[in-house]
Amino acid sequence: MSLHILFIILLGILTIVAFLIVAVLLLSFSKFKSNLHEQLWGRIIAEKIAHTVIEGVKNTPENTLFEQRIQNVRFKNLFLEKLVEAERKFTGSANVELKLLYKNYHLDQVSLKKLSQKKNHLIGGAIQELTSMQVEEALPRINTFLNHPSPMIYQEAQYASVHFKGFEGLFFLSVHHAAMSDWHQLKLLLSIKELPENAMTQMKIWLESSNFSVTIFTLRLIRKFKFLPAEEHVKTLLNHSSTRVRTETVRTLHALENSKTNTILIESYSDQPVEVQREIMKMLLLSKDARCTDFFKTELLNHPDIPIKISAAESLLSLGHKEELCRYANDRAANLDIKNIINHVIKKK
Amino acid sequence: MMHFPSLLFEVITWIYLMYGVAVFLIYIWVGIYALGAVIRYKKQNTFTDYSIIASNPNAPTFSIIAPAYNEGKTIVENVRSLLSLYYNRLEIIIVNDGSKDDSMRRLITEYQLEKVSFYVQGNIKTQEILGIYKSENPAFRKLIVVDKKNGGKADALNVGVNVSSGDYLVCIDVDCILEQDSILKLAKPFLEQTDKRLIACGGIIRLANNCKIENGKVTEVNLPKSLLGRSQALEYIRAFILGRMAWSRASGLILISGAFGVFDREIVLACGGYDPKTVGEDMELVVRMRRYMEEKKERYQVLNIPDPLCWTEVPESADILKKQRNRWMRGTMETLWKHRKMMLNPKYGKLGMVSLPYWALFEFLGPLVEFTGYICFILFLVMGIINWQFFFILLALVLSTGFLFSIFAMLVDLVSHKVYVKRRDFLRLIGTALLEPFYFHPIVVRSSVRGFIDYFRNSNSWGEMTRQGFNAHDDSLPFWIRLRGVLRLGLQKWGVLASVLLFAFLLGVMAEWAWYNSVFPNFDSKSVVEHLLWNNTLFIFKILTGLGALYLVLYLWKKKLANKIAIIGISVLIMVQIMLFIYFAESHNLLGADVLYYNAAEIQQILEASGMLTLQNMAFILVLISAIVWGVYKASQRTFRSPFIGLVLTVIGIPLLTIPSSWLSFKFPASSSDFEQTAGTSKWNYFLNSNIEDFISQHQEITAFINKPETKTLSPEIIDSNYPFWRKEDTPDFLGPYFEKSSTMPNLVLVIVEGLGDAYSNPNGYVGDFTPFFNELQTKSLSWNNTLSSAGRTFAAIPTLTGSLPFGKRGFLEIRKTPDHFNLFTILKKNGFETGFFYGGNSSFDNIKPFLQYSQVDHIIDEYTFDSTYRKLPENNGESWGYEDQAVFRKALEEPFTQNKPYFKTILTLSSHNPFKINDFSYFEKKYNEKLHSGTLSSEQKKWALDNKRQLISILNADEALRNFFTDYRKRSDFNQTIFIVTGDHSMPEIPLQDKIDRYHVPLIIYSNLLKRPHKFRQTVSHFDVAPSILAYYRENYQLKNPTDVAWVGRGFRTKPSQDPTGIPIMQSKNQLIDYVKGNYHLSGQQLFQLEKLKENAVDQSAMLEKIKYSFDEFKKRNAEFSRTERLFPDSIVSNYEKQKIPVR
Repeated sequence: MSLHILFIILLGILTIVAFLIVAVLLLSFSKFKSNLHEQLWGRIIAEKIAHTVIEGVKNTPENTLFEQRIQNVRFKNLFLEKLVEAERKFTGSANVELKLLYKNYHLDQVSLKKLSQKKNHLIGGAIQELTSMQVEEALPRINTFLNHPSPMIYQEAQYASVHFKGFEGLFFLSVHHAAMSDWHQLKLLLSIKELPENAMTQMKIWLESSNFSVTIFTLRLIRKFKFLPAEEHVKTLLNHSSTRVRTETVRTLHALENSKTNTILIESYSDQPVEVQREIMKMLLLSKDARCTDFFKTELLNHPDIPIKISAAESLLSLGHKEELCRYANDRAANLDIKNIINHVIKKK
Repeated sequence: MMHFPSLLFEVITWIYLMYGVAVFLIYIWVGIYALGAVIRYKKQNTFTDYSIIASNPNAPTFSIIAPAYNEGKTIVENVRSLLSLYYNRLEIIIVNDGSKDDSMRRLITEYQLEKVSFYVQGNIKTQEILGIYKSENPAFRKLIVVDKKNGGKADALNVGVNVSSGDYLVCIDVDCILEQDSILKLAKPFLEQTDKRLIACGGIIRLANNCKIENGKVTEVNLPKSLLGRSQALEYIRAFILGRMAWSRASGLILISGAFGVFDREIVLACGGYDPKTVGEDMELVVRMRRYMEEKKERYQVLNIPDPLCWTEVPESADILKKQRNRWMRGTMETLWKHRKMMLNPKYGKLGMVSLPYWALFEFLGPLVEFTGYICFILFLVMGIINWQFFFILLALVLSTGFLFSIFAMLVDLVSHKVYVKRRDFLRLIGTALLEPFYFHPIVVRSSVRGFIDYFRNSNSWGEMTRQGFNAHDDSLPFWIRLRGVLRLGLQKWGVLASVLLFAFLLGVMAEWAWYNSVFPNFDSKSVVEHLLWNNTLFIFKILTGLGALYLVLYLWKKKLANKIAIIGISVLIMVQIMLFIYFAESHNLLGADVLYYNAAEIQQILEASGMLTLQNMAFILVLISAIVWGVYKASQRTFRSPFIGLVLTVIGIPLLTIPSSWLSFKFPASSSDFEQTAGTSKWNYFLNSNIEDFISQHQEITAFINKPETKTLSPEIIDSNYPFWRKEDTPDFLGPYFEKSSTMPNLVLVIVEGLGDAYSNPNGYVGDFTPFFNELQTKSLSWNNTLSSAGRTFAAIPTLTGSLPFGKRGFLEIRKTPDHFNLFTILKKNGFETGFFYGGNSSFDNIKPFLQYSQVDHIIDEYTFDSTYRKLPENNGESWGYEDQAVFRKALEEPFTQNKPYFKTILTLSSHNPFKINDFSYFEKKYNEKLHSGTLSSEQKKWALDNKRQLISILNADEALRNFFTDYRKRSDFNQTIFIVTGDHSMPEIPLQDKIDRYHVPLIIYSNLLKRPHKFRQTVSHFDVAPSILAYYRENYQLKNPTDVAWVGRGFRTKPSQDPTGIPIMQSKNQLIDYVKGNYHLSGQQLFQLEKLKENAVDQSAMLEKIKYSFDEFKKRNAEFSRTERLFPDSIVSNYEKQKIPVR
């Protein structure tokens, strides 16, 4: 390639770069300006929301600045965003007032309109808005998004479905094949307010699901509502192939605790991997069951895993065996590691 | 020639251009990819309610680890800030790394700490823990303070890891200010993980300089006041918003900032925690964690989220900044070196194939490339080879691209988070983007380069002497143990030196290849590079064995001396390598021991005339020497940890030295030209062998030791074995029948045209006909198209053409005292001829003058006898070879000779000699172009012609001069009584040779108005045949009194090749007698070729090979005997001839 051609190419690239510089600068200035607008709008909206929360929709004084801008689509969207944020923070009458404010400005229509958009984040946002503002009539349309390919949309639709329909909204779990993240489960758990009495039939299917995340979610659901009828089925999961499921099972069994629970846990203890054993020890510590004293002593002295030894020592301490522990710690012939663990536990308190 | 600096400039410019293009493309990718990542994150989290994480009973537990060293003034406030973070399942571990101030006392007092017995569960090896403290106050229950002995940041972090109990570790600098919701925001990606384990996560770090901070929180964001601070603000935006986000999205992130990052505790422990030996512990840990996951074949990810989570103070003093960047560079190097195994290793997926190579190429090499770019710029500036137009557009492009990238980062930042919301700050950031390249950037580059140097200065990575358990100077140790120890140390050191030599030498080979590619675009590049690499690799390994052995012996004796000699030896080796290939590229000849046979003045003349001795070249060579010596010197200060490399590099050459070289060679494709094949040889190998052979040949005691004593075999015609060329003159008159008998003795003019080869003076030559006049003359002459010169250079032309003389050791002219002999000058002069020699250059060159003086030539005309009316050849860097051909011919015509006396003139031309600079270049260039477009050249010939333009233009000039010479001669009365012999001294090696024989293939014509008819002879003849035949002609037709005893090598022109009993020996250069033609065979070295019309094909005929070799050896023996005695016949032969009275005609 001759130098001349190279020069021409470089000149061409330089021209493009110069053009891009101008374009980026213009965009930046424009974005900066719109950010400044948003700051101002944010203050106006915050004022409006504050008045609504304190004085109610009817008593809120006329806000000219707000009324002038509410026709602006971007302002309206920002208002919606702030309103949903505020709705999460307030309960009771303030929450009702905010929902009224939402209706008064026909923001439900804006949200419903957004459901027809093609951009995933707009649809997801609209579902959140409609759910937060309790627009139940939107549920049929929201349900159409349950099988949407985008996780952002179908998860929001699931939350909405559970929010409005309760346990029934969780039925999708029977056919849910993707792994559910803790975040997904957390949102679903927050969305559901109660369990029906006959929930076990459905939950039994989920507990046996090949999708372990569904099993884990169900265990957490049982734990949240302390759903005692599930205990028998939960126990069987102590032999589940997944360590994570077993760990969650231990936690759930503890939540459903009865007189037999600790015995069941101790009986299965030796068959469990160390992660599950640690969890069992944690749960036994919380249950403060004197019947387990000997078990704790054995584990303190013999188990090779340090966290288990620490849990055992903590349990013994909580059961009032401080003197015995101190005696052991002062015994010159005693194992140094165990002595350190005992000191760690005693002094920590 | 193309100047070396110019070629280097071009090569370097291209390297930088390619690198620049790569950087440019990566910038584009990073920009686009980061924008996408930021927008996607923003969309996904617009409505995220982080408070649900805080209330989640299943939320993961985090352990914040903050190492502190002498932070007494701020530590209480910093801890308070950490305690106020929104997250329940949190523990805050402050590790006091042996502070010398009152940090611990302040913490104990402020947070009511008491020392507790704490069982440390982690097992990473660290400095001793002096105490672990917890607060009695439940408000501070999250706080754990560890007091430990000083061990550095990484060690303190490791203590924190050991003490921690959380699922995830948040490692921060204690002076960092975290956003209140930072842990919540970081927890979300961990909660979102499903099939891929999130092992590390980072967030955006912002600058706290000049920000308003109240109660451990940033309440007002401002840009730093200083330009240095603002530049870093901009740099952080670029790095975090663009770089990290793009790499995070591409799953290639390998750096989570040490100021703030979250790691999976389990993986950190499994990996062994931070490496306290590195200064770049943050990057090293991430790379090691990724390596661990890759090796376990578990799916994982490393993320960066675009939320500004942490505020930190950056240095606003240039000195501290320099130290920081120096450290970063060393950290990068340490990490890359430590994990070099993964580099370009597909086993490590994106980490090995993309991330690490990217870091090595751009993050690590970037500042170095830029720095070397400045040095190259200064060098090129000094040499005056900068193309300013090109420079300015590149500069503009670099600056504008940098600016574009900065403002684009600002735009993405605006899209992501509005941190700098003040208009003034926004405008100042844009201003900073403009100023940064001129102030901040040079500091960063300089510090990085300094860091690069410091890495080698302080690091053990190159290895240090292993002296554990052994001291070589310990005289109490047994001799053999000491010897073994010293040898081990020597090998460790030699390993470094040998590696440097190997690397530099092979680099030189690649430079050689690049050079040839540039100078000879039609080369079979693949074959040449294969042979170059192979031959040179064999050579260098052999040399390494030799040098290694020498080094070790010297090392045993005197270490410093060994090192000094190694530095000098290696430097010289590399320098000579470069010079040898440049010489070859320029002259198309391999340089051998012949270099010893040119005196200093001759060498200087060659170099000056070829344009090599320019200021630029000298400057370049000076820089090159300095660089090589410096590099080798630096290497000599290093030592490998193991003697393994040194040992391997020393012994690998041993088998190569023992295996016959023919076993290790492989052939070029049949289509390759001789020139390509020569180009593929190791120039150093040739140079060395040539000198060794020359040395041996000069020392007869060695020759006698090597060779078995042989009985002299004598040809029956040889009169005396002490004078192996002495014989009776019996040359038949071959020419007489072709000439009319003249009433007077015809004059003789011998024209030897420099570099006139058959290839370009013959329409059927592979280049075509570029001598129109000569060809026209040929049709009217006796012509021999298949003529061989006696040498590949001019040094043998005069003695061969005028005296058919043997070579002796290095050419007849090199014999110190010209041996008694007969030649055309002496014999014709004896018979009443007036003799003259005309040459435009210095006749002392190649020792022609002593030969002419011996021959008592009446008119010796060389460049010192021309007046100002004659034109010299154009100067090349102030030096001209001498007078142009036109001047020489004119001088030959104008020089007054005695009337009515026959004369013999020899004219040797010059214009067609390298560097082919002629007067009236444009005129001959036009003729050249006309020839190109005349349609008389085949496409193949055209290609050759295009590649050798300068050479062919000089030939056109010589031909034109010849035409003018004949035109003017015709006007003279003596023209009709004159016999002209025109031939070339040899073919130009500067025009690549198709066959080996092409070097010697020249045309020969005899023209005269006395000729009865023209005739074209097909037989192969040689320059050795000219003098005997000419003298036989004069003898038989004009009763010239010839000597009865002669020492001619040639037998005169004959009709059949088989009639030649001697064959044609040919010297390629002054020390290379390796070519020999006999009958239809050409022996070149050990290879036999079959000839047909002087086109040759390699043949594998062992019987014939032996026969030809035998014949050649016979000649060589005779020549060797002559070399020894430097006498051709007894003194009486010449003196008796001289005493004879010959009547004046």
